[in-house]
Amino acid sequence: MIASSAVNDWPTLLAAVLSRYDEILLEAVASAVVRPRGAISASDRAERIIGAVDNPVIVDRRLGEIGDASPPSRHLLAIMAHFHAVRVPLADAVSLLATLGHGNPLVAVRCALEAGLVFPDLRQPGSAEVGQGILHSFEAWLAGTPVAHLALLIPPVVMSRALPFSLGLPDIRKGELIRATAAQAAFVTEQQRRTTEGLPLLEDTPATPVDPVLPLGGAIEGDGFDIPCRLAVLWQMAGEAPVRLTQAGEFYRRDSDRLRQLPALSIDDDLIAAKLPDYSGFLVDLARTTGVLACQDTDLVPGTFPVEWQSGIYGMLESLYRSLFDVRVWNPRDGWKPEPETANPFPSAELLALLLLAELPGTTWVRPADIENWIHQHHPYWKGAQRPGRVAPWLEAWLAGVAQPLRLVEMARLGLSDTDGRAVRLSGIGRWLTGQGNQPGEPPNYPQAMVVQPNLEILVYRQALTPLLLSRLTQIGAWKSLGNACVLLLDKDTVYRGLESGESLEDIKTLLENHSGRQLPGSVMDQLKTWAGRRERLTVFPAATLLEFASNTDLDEALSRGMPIQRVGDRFAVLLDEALGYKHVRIAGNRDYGLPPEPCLVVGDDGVTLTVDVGRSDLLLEIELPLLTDPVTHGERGVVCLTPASLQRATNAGWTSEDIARWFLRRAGHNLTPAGRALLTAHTATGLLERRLVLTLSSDDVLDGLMQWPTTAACLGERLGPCSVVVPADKIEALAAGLKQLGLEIPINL
Amino acid sequence: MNGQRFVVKVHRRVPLVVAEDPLLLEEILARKKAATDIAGRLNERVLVIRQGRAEGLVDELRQMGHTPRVQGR
Repeated sequence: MIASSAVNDWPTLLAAVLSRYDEILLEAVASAVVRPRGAISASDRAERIIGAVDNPVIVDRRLGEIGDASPPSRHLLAIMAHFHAVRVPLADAVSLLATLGHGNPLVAVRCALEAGLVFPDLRQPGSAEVGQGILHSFEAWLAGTPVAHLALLIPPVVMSRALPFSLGLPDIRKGELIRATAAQAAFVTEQQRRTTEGLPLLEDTPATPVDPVLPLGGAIEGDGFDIPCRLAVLWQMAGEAPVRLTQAGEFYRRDSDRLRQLPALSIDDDLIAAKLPDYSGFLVDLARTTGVLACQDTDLVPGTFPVEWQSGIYGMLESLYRSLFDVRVWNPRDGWKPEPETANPFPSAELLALLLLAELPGTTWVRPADIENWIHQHHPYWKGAQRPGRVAPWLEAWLAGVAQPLRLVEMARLGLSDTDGRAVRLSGIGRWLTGQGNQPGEPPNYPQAMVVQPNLEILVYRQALTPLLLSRLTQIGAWKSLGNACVLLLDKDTVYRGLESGESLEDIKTLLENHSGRQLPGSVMDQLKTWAGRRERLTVFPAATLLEFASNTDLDEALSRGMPIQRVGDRFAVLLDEALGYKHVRIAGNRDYGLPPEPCLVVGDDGVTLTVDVGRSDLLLEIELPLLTDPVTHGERGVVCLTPASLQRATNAGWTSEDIARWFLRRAGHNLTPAGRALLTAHTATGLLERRLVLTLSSDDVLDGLMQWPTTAACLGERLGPCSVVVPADKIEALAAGLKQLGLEIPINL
Repeated sequence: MNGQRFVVKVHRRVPLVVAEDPLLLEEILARKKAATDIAGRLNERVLVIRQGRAEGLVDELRQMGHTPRVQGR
């Protein structure tokens, strides 16, 4: 659907991107980033670039150099690092450079590309594959359309070394017209130029400081689990039935209703809910970018919880922060709005809002509207916009509905109720994620997180929840309500889902007992055992490796030797461990069921005896032969025979003559033999067994004559062959007389 | 056979259903929709599934109220 920012194998991706660089371009980038003393051979260039951008010492040196040579490019690298993602849409990077006051952001991007510190994302939109074609120049790539598909890749080491770095953002308490440092410098330069050239100066309205903010009451900060819990509910909902999207990217009516009607997917604060459209759409988009929901064509199905969730709350919040700016179908002003060809300005504005907050002292509160006004004055998407739809407020709702639950900001009331407005400031976690502070200390660990009730309901306390516990509980139960104490219900399907995800009965028991601090109620344990036991009764192997032993004894001995196999018949066993399983065996034949079947029967001269080519036969033949054939000798494998009884057996089992003929063609490689056909169709023929007088001559030519000469022709019956003809009993004398006229006397042997 | 290697024929990528109880397989074969996914019965406890039908059969088994263990997906 949309390319994800997640890059699992960075060196492979970069190698694929560099493979599309033109020779000259690659040489130029290699020289810029590696700075070799001599020439780099053409075959080594890509490898040297990959090595250089992975080397912190070289990266630090290049960052210093680009900071001196092209400050806008250094700003670009810092901006990209703030996204915490390897892939950043070009439109976002360019918008933020323009917001900082850089007049020609694309030149800054080109310089960074030429310096080899960022790279163009040459993957096909929505695909992990790098496309075909050669990249001759960065200018041509930067001019590509649609702009929403263009993105930059920043090497992880460059990302980690590009911060901390001041972007020169202003203190927005000084007013919405206050400029960023780069913008102010550009303004002063322009005024000087105009003064020198005698041109009229640009109008400069001084910024008016905003009113001081005095919140009432304390700061409200989320626990960080509000949105992850909702993602967990969404994961379970998609497991019941996929969330389906139309080709245009809209939800189908049924799925739209499902999302709207699920209370856990709605925002609790009515005031924010009214201002933040389509909150469930935000959750779906965030789930998609985090991988909690996976795209299968146009369906969204349950994916996997991010691995960062295993490292605790800060790992989870950082992964959500990274994914937040990849939410591009939804935006806080219009809700779910799929426009794949259009760049979405909101992620860059959201990051900008957090970076503006990061410029303020830690205890300082501001109104969201003051930040939003500054963004509207300086971000190129809003700058100069007059249309009411475009300048409609959205930031306060986003801060309260998204950033605060993710613990990026703290909020406080400006009056006695929420309607009096709210103030905002960056939280400790927000400061850490925006590079303004260290990671906060580890949160307290509460050992007892839940109560397991005999009615299979589990009460989970939010303050004791951890990301790992949340993801494991989501696998084995169904969330019924979310709140300070969440309710999870165990049932047959959810426990089965947990077992399918790799949990064992013992794992589930240990998880519930460890976090509840007591033994499971007997009824719960009994129920879990019953459900787990039912699962053991049927096993489906979608693609098993089956070993066929020569005899039952061999299989018994293989098992006694401890081979990793599971017996599924007298001579058959499923191989459970491909790595260890072949140590004790010699492979006599190999059959892949992903390939079409091969002819594997050799037909004897009698047309009914079939010899199995063991090297090419397959399992299905093992199933088919006992039905369609009989063994030639009792107990002997490999030689069988088509018999009337065997074919009758197949017919009784529902095989038609055509089915049997097709089977024979598939298995023997040619059409059914006449003997085989006779076995199948003889019963449809009619016949008569009788005695007849036959005249047999030594010459077919003479018989042709007798058949034509009227005197003898009247005495002859059906011709049986070239030299034989039937003679009716009452015509013997007339025939003898006729033959005598021809001088042919034949002995009569009656 | 002590110490010797066993001579085997390897059947790769075979979709199978293995049941603890042969009656379960009878039940599956009696279900029209599930039976169309079955290529044949290898023995009283094992069914061979038609190529590409394993996922569909698992869904159908769940519809039937079973909770099959899917191994090696």
